[in-house]
Amino acid sequence: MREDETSRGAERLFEAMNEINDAWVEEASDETPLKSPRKSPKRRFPRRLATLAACFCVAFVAYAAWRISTPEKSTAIRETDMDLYGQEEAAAELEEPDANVGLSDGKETIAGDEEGTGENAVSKETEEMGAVSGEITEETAEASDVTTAAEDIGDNSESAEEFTAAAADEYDSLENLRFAVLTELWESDAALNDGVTWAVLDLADFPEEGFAALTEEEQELLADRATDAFGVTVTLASSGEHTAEEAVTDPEGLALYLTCTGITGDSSFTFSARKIAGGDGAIYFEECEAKIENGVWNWEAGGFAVS
Amino acid sequence: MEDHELINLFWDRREEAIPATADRYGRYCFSIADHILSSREDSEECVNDTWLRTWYAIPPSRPSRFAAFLGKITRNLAFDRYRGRRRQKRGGGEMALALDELAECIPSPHTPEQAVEEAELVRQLDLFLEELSERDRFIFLRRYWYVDPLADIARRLALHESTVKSSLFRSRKKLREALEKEGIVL
Repeated sequence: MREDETSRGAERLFEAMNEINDAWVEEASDETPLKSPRKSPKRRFPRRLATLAACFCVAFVAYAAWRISTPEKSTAIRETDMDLYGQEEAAAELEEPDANVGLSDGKETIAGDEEGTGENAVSKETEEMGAVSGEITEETAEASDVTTAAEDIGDNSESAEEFTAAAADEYDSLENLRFAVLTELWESDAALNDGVTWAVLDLADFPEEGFAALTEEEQELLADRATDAFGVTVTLASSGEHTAEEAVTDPEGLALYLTCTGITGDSSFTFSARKIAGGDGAIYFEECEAKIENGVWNWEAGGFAVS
Repeated sequence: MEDHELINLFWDRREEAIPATADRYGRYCFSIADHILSSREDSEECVNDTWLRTWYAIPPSRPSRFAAFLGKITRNLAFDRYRGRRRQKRGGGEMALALDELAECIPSPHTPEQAVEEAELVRQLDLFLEELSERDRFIFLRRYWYVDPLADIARRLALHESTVKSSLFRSRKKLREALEKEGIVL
């Protein structure tokens, strides 16, 4: 009885829609598709290429930052190199003139030796050379440190493989895992969070039952934990208070998406996570997999992309 | 041939209006009918009936949006045919799924019943659609006006199917709340 009533109501609603403004119908018709349909990152740009480009950009920015922050040091290194070259020349000249003097003007050399100054002078100069060599060695070591630091910065540029390894972790509950994913998302590309005072959390397509379930209570708990941890007001998209689209269009808003993309077995499911900050950009964790083994949850991100 | 030229042909009672319209809008109307009826034969008949109905409707009508005008006729005819067929046995396909989903929007019959004019319901629907974002409105209409499968809508917008589902879920929830707020019982 109830089913029949509901069915009749749906039919009435369906019929009533025939009388809506023609403009809506035309807007959604084949003749006039959406003006700017969103394209998935996959179609717009191959993921592998996007990852490489992102790595290159990060490495380049890190290198540029290093060059800007340490101008004196790099200049000092060049000067040290020049000094080193100069001292070597001086040392060579120091030895060669002695020989020349010895050959061309032995008297002068002997006289110098007789006064006991020539040998001392040479010894003194040799000591100075030693001191200079020590300085050179220290500065060379510093230069080496700087080079190592630069290499470290270069190595820290995120690659997809390193990110995947970093993302893999273990959690005692699915709730903690979801929160960890959100935290990871929040902390990634943190510049997107600048000036943000509120965010919408869109949790889509998680089943209501089963091992991967995400009930309304759990959703609310997740939003509350995010609010406490991130220092911004996080509301659920399903609450209807704000939509993710509103968050994306507001300079102070941010949209966080956690979407279940499939249940892949008895103990695993796939999901994606996205953070979108209006015109500033977005970061995507794609093809992530969460699974439970021996009561322990872990997850891995299949890849990530920035735009 | 442009819409106004087609309409002029109908107004001039020239029979080539029908093949010309079929040439331009045949696929469009067939798609609407087929999503509702899930039957090639029935859909083709429905589309032919659409041309006939249009022939009798113009004149006196002079539609400003010809695509929407034809779509409405096709949709109505297809829905009539669907109901006729359902009287014999409950139908399946996209139409049944779409109606099941829309059933979520029907406020409980246990609330105080209130006679609501059709015009008021349409007005509420228009208001509801106006408040949706362009993307959500597009998804809602493609699903419940054109009865497109979810996968087709997702492909058209280059979105995940789950995103389309999520959008529809939110829209249905909003519609239900809007109808409840106005005390509309269907």
